[in-house]
Amino acid sequence: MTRERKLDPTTREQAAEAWETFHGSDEATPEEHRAFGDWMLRSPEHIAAYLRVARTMRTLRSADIRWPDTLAETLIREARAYTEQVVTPLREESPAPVHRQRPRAARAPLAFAFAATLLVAIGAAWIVWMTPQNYETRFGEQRFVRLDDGSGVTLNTDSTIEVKLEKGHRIVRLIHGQALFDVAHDAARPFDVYTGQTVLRAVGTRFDVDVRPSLTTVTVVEGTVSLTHGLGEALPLGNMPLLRAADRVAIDSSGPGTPQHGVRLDEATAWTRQQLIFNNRTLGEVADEFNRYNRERIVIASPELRSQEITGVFKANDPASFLTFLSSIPGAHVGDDDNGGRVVTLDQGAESRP
Amino acid sequence: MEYSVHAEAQAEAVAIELRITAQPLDEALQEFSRQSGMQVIFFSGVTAGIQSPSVKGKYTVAAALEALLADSGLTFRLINARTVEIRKAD
Repeated sequence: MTRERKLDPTTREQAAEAWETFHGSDEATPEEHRAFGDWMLRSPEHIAAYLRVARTMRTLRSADIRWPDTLAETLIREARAYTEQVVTPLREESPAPVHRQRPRAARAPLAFAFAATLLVAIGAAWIVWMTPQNYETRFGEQRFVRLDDGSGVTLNTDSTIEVKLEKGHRIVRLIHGQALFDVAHDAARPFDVYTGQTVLRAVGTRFDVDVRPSLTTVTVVEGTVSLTHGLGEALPLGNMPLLRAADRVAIDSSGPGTPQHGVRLDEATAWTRQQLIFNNRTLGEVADEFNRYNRERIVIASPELRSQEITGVFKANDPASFLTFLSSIPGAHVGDDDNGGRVVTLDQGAESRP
Repeated sequence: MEYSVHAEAQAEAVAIELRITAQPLDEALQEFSRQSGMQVIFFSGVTAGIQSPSVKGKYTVAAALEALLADSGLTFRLINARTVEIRKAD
């Protein structure tokens, strides 16, 4: 059995239609649900086609669901997980109190399969309306995500966002990591980024949010962003001055600091090109930055070396060149540490600056 | 050794189209990095107060750096085929 079968164009079209029925309008009738279920059950190809459409349209949260590689049980479990979150609104929208979320276990296997298929469909449909979508990158990964409103989000290494696009409101939660937001203009639908105690509101703009353990940095690349801190206080937003292009504000546990103007934007967005740009940054900071992307950690043991400031441009995935530079500093040595990383030391009394 | 010879050969051989305006040298070197794809590093102090000339046209990496560093009292050293260090001339 091939992994990605070629799908018959008619099947694809039908699957796209099915998608349209469930996602394009919120008024799919019970008849339509049934017809869709019947169509899905006719062949595994149909299920495959539907899942593919759903995935393309970003309505399936898990990238791991593949037919026929995924066991039917897994599909059912996924469907149930989704359904549990959506049972109430589904009932509210029905004209009559129809309970169609629970398959009857006593029925014949075919009926169970039918119900499960339907659950997949209903579940997938409801993700769009009810459940925030999560996007994440693993350590060392970057990813560009185009949201349904046309906005783009670039995720840096080890980052997670949660996206909820509602009729009058677009909400993104930056749970951890770093993201560059390229917000599609829509004055009627503000775009809010929540991170910690801070809300950033953009209408049509481009800005970077970098969440570190003790400090969050917001850099506006284009347009304006309003910042509000302290979610306990009531919105409306805007009790802080507007941040404009090339403004940066750092937020720590005591709240946002004074905005800094005229920051270097090429440096702020270099990570989206897999670059690291340093202007007068200490070797310690540079090492930390490489360590965000690379498993082989660089530790600069010598305090004297660590505080030396450098300027430079590197590829994020090329710590080897940085290490070669370090090893060429008179008196400096690069060795292995106990954790599979590299440790940089300096001979006593050595001159660290050539 | 072999590696560094290879790196130097490459720095000599490949011509790149550059358009770098006259500006503070640290910024000019970052612009050079962007346009050439070479990685650049230097201790921040070494370029302080130095203005670079404009460098426009087809240059090899070595020729471009020589032009950027002309009369600056600075020189460059290839760390490897893709990285160059700027330093004070001995």
